[in-house]
Amino acid sequence: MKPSILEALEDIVGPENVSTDPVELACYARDASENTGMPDVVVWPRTTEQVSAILKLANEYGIPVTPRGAGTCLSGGPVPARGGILMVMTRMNRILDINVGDMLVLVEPGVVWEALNRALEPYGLFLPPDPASGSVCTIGGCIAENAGGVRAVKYGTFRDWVQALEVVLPTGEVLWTGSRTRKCVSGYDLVRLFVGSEGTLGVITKALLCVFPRPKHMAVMSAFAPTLKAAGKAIYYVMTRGLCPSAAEIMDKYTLDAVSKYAGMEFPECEAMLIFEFDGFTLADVRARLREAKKLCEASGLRTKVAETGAEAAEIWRARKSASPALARLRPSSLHEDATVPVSKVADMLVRVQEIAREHGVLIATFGHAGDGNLHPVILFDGRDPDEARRAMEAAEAIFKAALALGGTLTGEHGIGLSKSRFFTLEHGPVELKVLKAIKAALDPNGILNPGKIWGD
Amino acid sequence: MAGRLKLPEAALTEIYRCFRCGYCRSACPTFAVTGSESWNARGRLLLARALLEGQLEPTPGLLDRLFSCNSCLACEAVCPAVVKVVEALVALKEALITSGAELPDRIVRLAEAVVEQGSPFASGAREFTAQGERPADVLVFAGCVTSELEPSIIRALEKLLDAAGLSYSVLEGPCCGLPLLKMGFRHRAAKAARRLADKLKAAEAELVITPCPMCFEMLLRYLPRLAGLNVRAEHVSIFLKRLLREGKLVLKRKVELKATYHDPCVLGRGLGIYEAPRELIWQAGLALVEMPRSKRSSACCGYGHLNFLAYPELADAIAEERVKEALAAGADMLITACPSCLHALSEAARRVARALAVSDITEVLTELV
Repeated sequence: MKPSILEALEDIVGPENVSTDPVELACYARDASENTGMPDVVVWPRTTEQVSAILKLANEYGIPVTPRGAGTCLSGGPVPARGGILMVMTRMNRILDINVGDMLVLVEPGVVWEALNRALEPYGLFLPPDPASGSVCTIGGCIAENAGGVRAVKYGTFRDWVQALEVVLPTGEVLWTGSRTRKCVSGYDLVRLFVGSEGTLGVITKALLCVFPRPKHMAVMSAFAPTLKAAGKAIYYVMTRGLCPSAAEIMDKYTLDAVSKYAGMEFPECEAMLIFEFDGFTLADVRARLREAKKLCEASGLRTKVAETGAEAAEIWRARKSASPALARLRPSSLHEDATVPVSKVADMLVRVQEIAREHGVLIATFGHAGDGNLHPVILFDGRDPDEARRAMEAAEAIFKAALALGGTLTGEHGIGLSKSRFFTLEHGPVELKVLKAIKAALDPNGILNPGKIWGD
Repeated sequence: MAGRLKLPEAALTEIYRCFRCGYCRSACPTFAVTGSESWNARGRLLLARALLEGQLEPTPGLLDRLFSCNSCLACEAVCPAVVKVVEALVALKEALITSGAELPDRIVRLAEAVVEQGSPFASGAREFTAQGERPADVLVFAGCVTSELEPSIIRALEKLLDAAGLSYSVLEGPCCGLPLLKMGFRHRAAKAARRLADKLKAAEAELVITPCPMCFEMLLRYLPRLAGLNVRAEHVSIFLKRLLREGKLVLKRKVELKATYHDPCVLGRGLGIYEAPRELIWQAGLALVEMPRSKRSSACCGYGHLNFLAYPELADAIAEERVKEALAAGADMLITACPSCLHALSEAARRVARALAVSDITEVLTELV
């Protein structure tokens, strides 16, 4: 990068917010996916004006800019595929307003999910979508990747909670779009265009989010399925009877084996464990829905166990939360996918994943958000063995294709990024691709913002 | 550089087990005060890979990132991949030292002072002989931080031992060597451990007690391996709890204040001792309020493993965050059970939280016998 550009960047954000130290750059070349891209410079803007000035500069000189939050992305979104400027948003981390009356909060993009929810707690409010990385991930990243989580089955993903956005376009122009009202048909819904755009259309500098009253009661149960088919049936029944669980999770037997081995927990003999959680504002309502779900599970041939105490509920959740750590102990490397299928196809997908594991000679353990079809097949392998690594990649590809064949999507909540861009056209036709590219070109005529993502080049 | 760094297979496995989820961002104290990835556990493991794969050279800046790790284990408490980060980084630092990498000056001076003078607080070579009765029921081993920076802990312990009617001797200094071990100076740590072993043997005590969790870890875990000496050792929190239980020590007064307890990293996450100090606080009549980060998720004070001597600005900033957290929890008093934590937190409170009284648990009890 030319010294004159670096000097200009230092003028914009101050030298303490610019780094070209190779030690620093190496640490910003990765996210939680397998992708790598070395930035030429890392900048930490603190204001919308600075973001705008950086983008103007980059746009003028054709320098790629990649926005980044906490770098917890599982698809390469914040990895600077073409080098250039990596713009880290974490120093814009103020909560600007909590409006209890309208149940709205205005935040900067670098606010950490957990910090926001902690700030909302005294008001009896919360922001429902709960990505697993909530202790560290930023709101800006959640919006850019349209993050979901366990509770998405009831409350939806970030898309459903973003009311308005301040966005700096790749040209440096600043845009405010959206409304403070829940209903709004005034013009195209640009908010939803930016949500999930993976940092390719603009840099979010402020977000107005709706929040929700924290439920007063919760009830949790586990259910153990003799077959994957029975598990799929139980999930389908619970999801289609209006019971609105706030969690409907699944862990297959490979995941359970790992959890019993490394978290010291015991489970009944089964092919899969389901967890259902119900939340609400009266105990009677929550209990009634749980009872109904229990009946439906039992009618599908599952053995159920309702948590009678807080400790029992915590123990059920401990099993789910131990899934990732336990699986990480099994093999040195892992690929975490999030292929998602319609809720009626969950059982078919689980069966298909196991067939794929056998066909490719790799171990695949699946857990995830069964209630919205968002499964997390984890392919476990040893990356130092090139043959096994190749088979793991091929299995991943087979999983994507299987999800699409069942009417699903490549990604439910992780994003396409770099990891899945090769497969993008399997899901999207030429006309749709043309529209997507036209939108991109309209907002980013010089293609400087997060290039190389989603559909590749 | 590539090829010259030799790491044990176990350490390599740990380094490559990290799947870069970044959850350590919520825990790493050096990340909390710098806000940049290279000072985070995930960053350090990425730097380890870059060194091993020959993409980066061990420049002073890179080594600062590695040596500034306080070995506080906070990252390990939140790591979903259960990576043994501290073990991996210690192995890497050992390999760097063996390979002849040019280490940061302050680290070199610190290691030399420990080996040559017996203490990093350079005040000329000393003898370090146990003072007091011999043979005694108890030997108080006060390592370098206790005797040089927080000697009031020793006086407090003497008073408590007098009250319990026990005979004792006191060994002030030398450095036990544990910080050197965590910095990757295995041979120098072994030298320090052997010197300590000689002093302990000469003191002929049945039981060695120490107020310092690092010294305690050295006595418990490493002295047998590094110096072939097995001693019966207790951290003062365990020892005092026992005296109270057995009725050998009786608290005659109670303090009615709101106190919070700072879990020292080595005592808590390192050795699993969370309850003994809390029981002492309870016995002292104090109302215990917990900080948001406590027990396994306790925050580091910044001074662990003598790191404050090499990276004082980082250490002080970390300590200031912690005393602010104690104040915000509504505590009048911040109690800890480690001389390094005591030093870090009392100095930080003097700067940014003057309303907060900071004490070691021994000092609190001494006032009550």
